[in-house]
Amino acid sequence: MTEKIATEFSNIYEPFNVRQDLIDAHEEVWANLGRPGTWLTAAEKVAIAAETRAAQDCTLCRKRKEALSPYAVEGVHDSISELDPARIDAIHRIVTDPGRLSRRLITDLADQGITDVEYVELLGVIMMTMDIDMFHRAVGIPPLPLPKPQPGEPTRQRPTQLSDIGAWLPVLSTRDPLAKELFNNAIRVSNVALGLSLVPEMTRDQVTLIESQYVPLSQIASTVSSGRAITRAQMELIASRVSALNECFY
Amino acid sequence: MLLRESSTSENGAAQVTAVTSEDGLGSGVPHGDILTQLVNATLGDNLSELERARQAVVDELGMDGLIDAAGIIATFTMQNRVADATGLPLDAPMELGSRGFREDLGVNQFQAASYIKRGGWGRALLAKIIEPLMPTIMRLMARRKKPTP
Repeated sequence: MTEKIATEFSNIYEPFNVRQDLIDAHEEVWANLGRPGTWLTAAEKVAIAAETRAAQDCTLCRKRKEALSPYAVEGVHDSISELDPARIDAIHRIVTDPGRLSRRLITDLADQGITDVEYVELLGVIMMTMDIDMFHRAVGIPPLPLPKPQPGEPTRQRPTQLSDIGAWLPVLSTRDPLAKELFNNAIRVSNVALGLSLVPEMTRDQVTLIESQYVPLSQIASTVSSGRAITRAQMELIASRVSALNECFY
Repeated sequence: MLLRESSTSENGAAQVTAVTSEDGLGSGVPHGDILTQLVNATLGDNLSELERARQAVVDELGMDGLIDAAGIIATFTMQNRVADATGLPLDAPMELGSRGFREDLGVNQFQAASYIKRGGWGRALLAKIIEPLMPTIMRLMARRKKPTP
């Protein structure tokens, strides 16, 4: 991580007495947003993060959300990036109407030449941005400036051992040694933890956030408290309410 | 399901169906209503409500409580979208063991529920057998130790 980012998070979180493991996790994930990824350049990642924020005030998205079908309303998004229209549309749909996403989202992107791995990395960048922005909103911290894109090229490494778990995309096989490393040797890995694993670096950031903000993967099935300031039942109540408002079946 | 099991192990079963009601209040979880109001306000767009909800959590549960609550809101904002944007199916034991429960919650009305492959009568029968056993299965799963790397 860069020295500048470390200083920013420590200073910003100091009045809120944020746990050190949480500061470290947010610093790491935020710094990674500004680094070249597996399939996207750092500039593309930062542009996706900026568009993620813009989507929340988009007039077209508001109209679509009110429509009976998510594809019923045509128009142009209130966009602030130079990303292509297909990516902009995908970002806006994921941010503003997640409960009505369908496989069509991925097939439409594929028609525009956007591959499954590029989609997963785009989704991962949206997720990391929304996660940390949402944490700040809940606590009362204004959104942070996005990181400055670092130079360099994407690594372009696709995992070789994949499996089909019935999702719209393949995921990393849990038999792959990389999966054991990513999931800290957890005995059982839930499907949601595998969602971004076609791009393992995105899963790494996802696990970092889950373990620092929620509970370690090895304790998810446990129903006892885990040393946080709120009880496990209070944590699960919050999780359930967020899912209900997002109309998330999972 | 984790809400039902965790509240049972802590202080008595929560009124789980409250989470899918209009305001989400009345779960019976200690300080549950102020935490629910924090979620409602964080995902909503009324800033003065959000300010009030935050302060209520700090007053009742301290700043550490607010930080941990914010972490859960952030995590599930992310996890919900990962699931919805990749069409992830529910894990098989959870799908079979929560059919009646999901009906009670009303989540089968959500669009994503239509992507679930429910299978035929065999799976329906299996679900009937597994669902009453789920609390025990979850307790056993929770007791399993992490292997030594």
